[in-house]
Amino acid sequence: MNVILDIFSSTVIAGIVILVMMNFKLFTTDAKLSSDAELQLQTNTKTLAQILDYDLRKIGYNYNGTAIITAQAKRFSYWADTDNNGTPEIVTYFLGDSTIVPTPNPRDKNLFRVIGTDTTGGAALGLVDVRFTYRTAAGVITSIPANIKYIEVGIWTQSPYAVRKYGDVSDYLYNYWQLTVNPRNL
Amino acid sequence: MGKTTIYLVLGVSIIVTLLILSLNSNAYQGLDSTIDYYDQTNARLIANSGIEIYLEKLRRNKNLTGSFNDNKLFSGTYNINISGPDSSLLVRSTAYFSGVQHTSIAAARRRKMDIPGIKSALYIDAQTIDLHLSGNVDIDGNDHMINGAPGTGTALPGIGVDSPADSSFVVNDISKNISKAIIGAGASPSVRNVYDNTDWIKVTQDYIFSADIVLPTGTYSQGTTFGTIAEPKITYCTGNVDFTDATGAGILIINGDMKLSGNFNFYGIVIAYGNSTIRTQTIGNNGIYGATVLVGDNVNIDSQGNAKFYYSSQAIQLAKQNLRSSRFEITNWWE
Repeated sequence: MNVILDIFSSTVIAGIVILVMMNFKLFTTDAKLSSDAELQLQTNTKTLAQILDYDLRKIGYNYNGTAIITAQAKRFSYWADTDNNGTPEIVTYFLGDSTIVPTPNPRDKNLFRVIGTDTTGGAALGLVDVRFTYRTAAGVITSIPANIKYIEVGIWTQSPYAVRKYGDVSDYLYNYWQLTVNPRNL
Repeated sequence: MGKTTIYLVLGVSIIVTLLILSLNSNAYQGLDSTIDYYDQTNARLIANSGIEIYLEKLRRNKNLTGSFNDNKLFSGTYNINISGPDSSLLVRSTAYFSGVQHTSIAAARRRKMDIPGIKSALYIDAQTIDLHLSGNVDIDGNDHMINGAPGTGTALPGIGVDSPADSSFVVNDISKNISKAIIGAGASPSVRNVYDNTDWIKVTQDYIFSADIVLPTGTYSQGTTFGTIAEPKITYCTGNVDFTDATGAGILIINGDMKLSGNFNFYGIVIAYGNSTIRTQTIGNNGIYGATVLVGDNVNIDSQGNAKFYYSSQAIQLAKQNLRSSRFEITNWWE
């Protein structure tokens, strides 16, 4: 009888331990996924910021005249010699359509970076929105190309996959990065 | 049972440890990502600062060129390379910070020296005017070539002042003999109000900042040259100087007493600044071809010998054309 009781008790205890471990495993998997997604989001946002920072600091390089061509919230076009070959090219940034980005996130889009006649450039990297704001030397918002001295860029990014946040609710992680560039050639 | 428990505890501990390590690894990578951006920004700022520092050095040393490596700044280093002529200088700065490299390039050109419009052979903008003119003094507002021959430019007043009161003072103060020697636009003595709006103090300070030669108190005798027509200089005398048989071209700023003796000739603009006196001695022939400006609290001319203050548009134009300023215009900036 005692033996039967021992076997029963140990089975119950083993079951509880296995359940706890399974739950723990699920938790750790979620935590890892969430952490990985967060890291990827952060890296993607930083990469986007680096691309913009690198490019925008070269506005007007090797170009005489008003370098900025289009100054809109979602579209920015300017002259710059981005490859330093002595010939300036037109660089255009604009936000693409979400349908062309093959991720489960329905909101992420391409940020097109078109240099000269090359129309293939574009980075998705979880970008869901971008906003260009233009300021004069005094910090006043303007859209007149000749008056622009500062370019402020707001980048909104989301993770490509939804991540379980609490309970059974899943959502996309989000991030925001803002940078202000004062191109020396303006 | 005891062994099983130990295995169980050890197993769970290992799993938890691996998980924590994995999560920490992500945290470290996230931190690295941020630090990487910080490092890049710092490297860029160091490279940019390197260019600014060397542009400042180029203001002081107008012949600075070549490579200057391993300069320390903000826990990083930068290498500088300066090349090209004044009209298209290229300053390349490569900075290193925490293993990150960044190169910035500035294309610049040295600005031409800005010389305000000259309105008389001798212009006086002083709080206290105290002219002691005797001997053979010629103040001539007619245009001259640098060789002394008549020029083709418009004649200016011999002496220009800012107010009728100053004009009356100068006219009444000088003797008849000297009065006849002040010629130029209008009747003799050619002393006129010229209403010069130039802030000569500011202009002078700008020239001092750009000075090529700084002369302390001393005697500068035969063979001493402060610039030539082809390569004029900005010379700043900080004390009392005695020029004997010296020559010069460009801009000469005097902040002290300048004594001219022997045959001293200068081509360009002479500015007596602050509390200064230009003294000409009885020995030799001294000439200033271009223009002379007296600006400051108490500036005088004490002339006892042969002295010529000749307006020369050619000398001024040559100075303007060939002087190297300390100001740069950045034409392009890569960062």
